[in-house]
Amino acid sequence: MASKRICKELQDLQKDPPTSCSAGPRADDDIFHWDATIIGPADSPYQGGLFFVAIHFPPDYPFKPPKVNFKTRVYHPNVNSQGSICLDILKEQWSPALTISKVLLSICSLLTDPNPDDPLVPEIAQIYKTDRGRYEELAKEWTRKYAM
Amino acid sequence: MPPTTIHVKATSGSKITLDVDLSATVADLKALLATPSNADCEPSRQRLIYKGHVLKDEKSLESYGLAADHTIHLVKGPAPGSGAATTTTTMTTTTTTTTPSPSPPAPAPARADPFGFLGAMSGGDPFGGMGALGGLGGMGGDMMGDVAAMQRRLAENPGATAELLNSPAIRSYVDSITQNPETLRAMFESNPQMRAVLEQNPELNHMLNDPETLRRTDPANVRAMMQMQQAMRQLSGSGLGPDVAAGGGGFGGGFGGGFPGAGAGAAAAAPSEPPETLYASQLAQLKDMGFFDEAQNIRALQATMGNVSAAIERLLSQ
Repeated sequence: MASKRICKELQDLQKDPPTSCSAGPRADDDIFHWDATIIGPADSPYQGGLFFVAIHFPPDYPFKPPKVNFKTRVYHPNVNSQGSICLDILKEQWSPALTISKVLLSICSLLTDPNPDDPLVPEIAQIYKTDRGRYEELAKEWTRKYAM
Repeated sequence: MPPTTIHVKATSGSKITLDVDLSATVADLKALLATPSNADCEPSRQRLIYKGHVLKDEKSLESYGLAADHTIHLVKGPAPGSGAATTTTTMTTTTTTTTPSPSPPAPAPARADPFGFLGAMSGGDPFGGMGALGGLGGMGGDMMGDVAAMQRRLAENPGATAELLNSPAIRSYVDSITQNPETLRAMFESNPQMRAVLEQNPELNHMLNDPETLRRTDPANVRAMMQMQQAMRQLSGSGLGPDVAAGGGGFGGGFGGGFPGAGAGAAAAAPSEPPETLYASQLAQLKDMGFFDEAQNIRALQATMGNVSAAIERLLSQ
């Protein structure tokens, strides 16, 4: 059942993907491991960057959330140096009605609007809260360094 | 090999449709895209992405599994030579002169899941859709207590619409959305179903373009709020009310936040419709997830007021 649902999502993504992200299986023979690309949102310091994301579907998907990690380094209060993402819908707020496409769009929206009150990297959250200019400068620099 | 139709989506949202030979290389496609009638962007600046991978110039399109009607993303890279210049600028810039614009206040609802709201909007006329604002309440989590309290007040005193409109909770909610119309727009455009609704309802489209319309307390807005009130009554009648009223609890947050179907049945559809039509999208979702017994699916959806997740719980526990 998991693979059926994943195939359906893949078909939808191939035909009509969201403007800001692209995703598909890493290899043809393994539908449970995907790579995705998120295009840095235009209204954020991540603009112009391409962010690679690894997606791992659990065997009981969609009843359990997919594991989603950044492979590109991102300067963001909710993404740590391992690429882990702090996003409620990937944890307790997961619903089987969500799809990878929606998850990726939510990550895009997280890039535009960080959530410093539930940070994964408290140092970045602190800078984001106290010196927004500095945060934007650093985020832009990392984007240039790692995502272009 | 006969040409195959593919689509190329640019970051601006524009879509180019091309006929290509799948045995051609990525470099060939970039050359084709470079013409002014297409993307008008020199090949060295083009980055093409398909299924999450950046396409390499020397490989053929078919080696990536590209097929008819599939979509490739095009991202324009920095102009060659400008990279160095930008770096120098950064090195010398020690202070940021630009004042950071105030951050849009809408992140939480947008991120929590725009789609619960979207699901609810897809049903009817624009203002019926506005009625689904009730669903939004769930996204805020902590907002829920206030909304629930208001709902009770409304139930006791149906004339309290004006009070509702002026209540700080709703005000701040509507404001948080209207101050960031881009978020709302992005939410709409990310969903083909919603795009169709927008196309069919120019007023709604206009409303999105003009956030003031949303904020103004005109009759249309009042009507929308009345619908919301109705939707909430239905919710409380369905037995979901007490849980929602429980507020910041897990269910309160998840109810409005996570599930596309939530609210749709309650807010947007007339109760007289047959359940097959009423819950068509939810039924399709359940089917996609592997629940093939339609009669059972309908029963579960009816019992849960169209909430797909709750219906699944129910189906699995049977």
